[in-house]
Amino acid sequence: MSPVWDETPDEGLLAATRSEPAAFGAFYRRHEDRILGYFLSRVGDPEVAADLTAETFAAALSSAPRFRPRKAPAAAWLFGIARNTLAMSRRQGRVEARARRRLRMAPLVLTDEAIERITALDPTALALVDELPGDQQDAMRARVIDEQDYADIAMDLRCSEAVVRKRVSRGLGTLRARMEGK
Amino acid sequence: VTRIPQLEQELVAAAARRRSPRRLVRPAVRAVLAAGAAAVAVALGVVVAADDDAERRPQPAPGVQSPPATNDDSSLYPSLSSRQQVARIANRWAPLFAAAPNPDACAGYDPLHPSREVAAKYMAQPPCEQAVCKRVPDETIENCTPLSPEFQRSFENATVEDVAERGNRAAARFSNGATVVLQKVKQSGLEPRPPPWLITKIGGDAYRRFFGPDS
Repeated sequence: MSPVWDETPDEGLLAATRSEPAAFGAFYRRHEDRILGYFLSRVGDPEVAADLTAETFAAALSSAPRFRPRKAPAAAWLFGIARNTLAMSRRQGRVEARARRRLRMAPLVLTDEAIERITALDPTALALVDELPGDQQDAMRARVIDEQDYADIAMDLRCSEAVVRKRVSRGLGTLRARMEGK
Repeated sequence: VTRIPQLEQELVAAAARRRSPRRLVRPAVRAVLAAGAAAVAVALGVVVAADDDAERRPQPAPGVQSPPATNDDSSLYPSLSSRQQVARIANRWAPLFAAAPNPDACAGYDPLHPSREVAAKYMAQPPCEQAVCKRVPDETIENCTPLSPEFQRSFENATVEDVAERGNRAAARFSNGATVVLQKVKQSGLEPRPPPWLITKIGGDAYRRFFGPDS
């Protein structure tokens, strides 16, 4: 896989995916940890987290031609897919697999080493976000995890940008204090 | 190295399939080609099936009674014991593997004959690619020695003689002396269902580990 893609911005990788499959490999490498960590902190099981991650990236691959950079950064777009995948899977009581089916992807067979590598991801910080007060939690997730703009978050949360900034700042402060206390 | 290298490879392979020239063929032309291919496939299928029944169906080993492989409907697998499942999968895989797989077959299909069953169906991606030293879509694996054509061909009439299980792993020993390792696949609602076991290793020290005196 060519390392040249590693320096290309997310938007460029998604745009190139149609003609250069390796570009999507680079996109995967760049976001694998964050998506895996996101799922691991929510489901706690490395194999289920891996399955959800596979489905999320498969859905992203299918939707890549429809991605519009102006609407949201690619990371936020990807986390949106991850959240939908998790919500859908919870509703159905099993990991969603529609996107992988459509792409005719082989089932994941995790080696012991892969499971160890996934387990090594530290979900502590993400788990601590869950313990924040509701308003700080929403602002933190949108800003730090989904990398949304303050303006977009303000619109989603129906408050001013200043309020969002304050909630994120308080959330980060609380998180730092708790991490140091651990 | 990513945490799940197999997933990265699968995604790149899926992206490659999406850009396949077949997708660019105009739908009308594609429909005509598909209809023609289906007619030929049906005609060939009748001939090949007759051939298979008469000559190629593997005989179950004495210790591992494998039910007759009438078709590959994966819904049949749950009614078999683990050992029978392993034997059936390994027996179906062997002649496909012996037919010198096209490196592209590791993508899960034969691009020239998309409806034809390929060895990769019964294999995890890494061992499939390691066997031919080619990574999907078209990358040579460095410092890799492909399995010899003689070794591959030796599976042509090989049948499973013994199966050993260890937790989620199992090994099948063939009549050609080779042993393959399989891993149980977690079924997570994927349709069509994958085979319940996938081959993760061919040869190596598998025999000693599963069938040796210290096993």
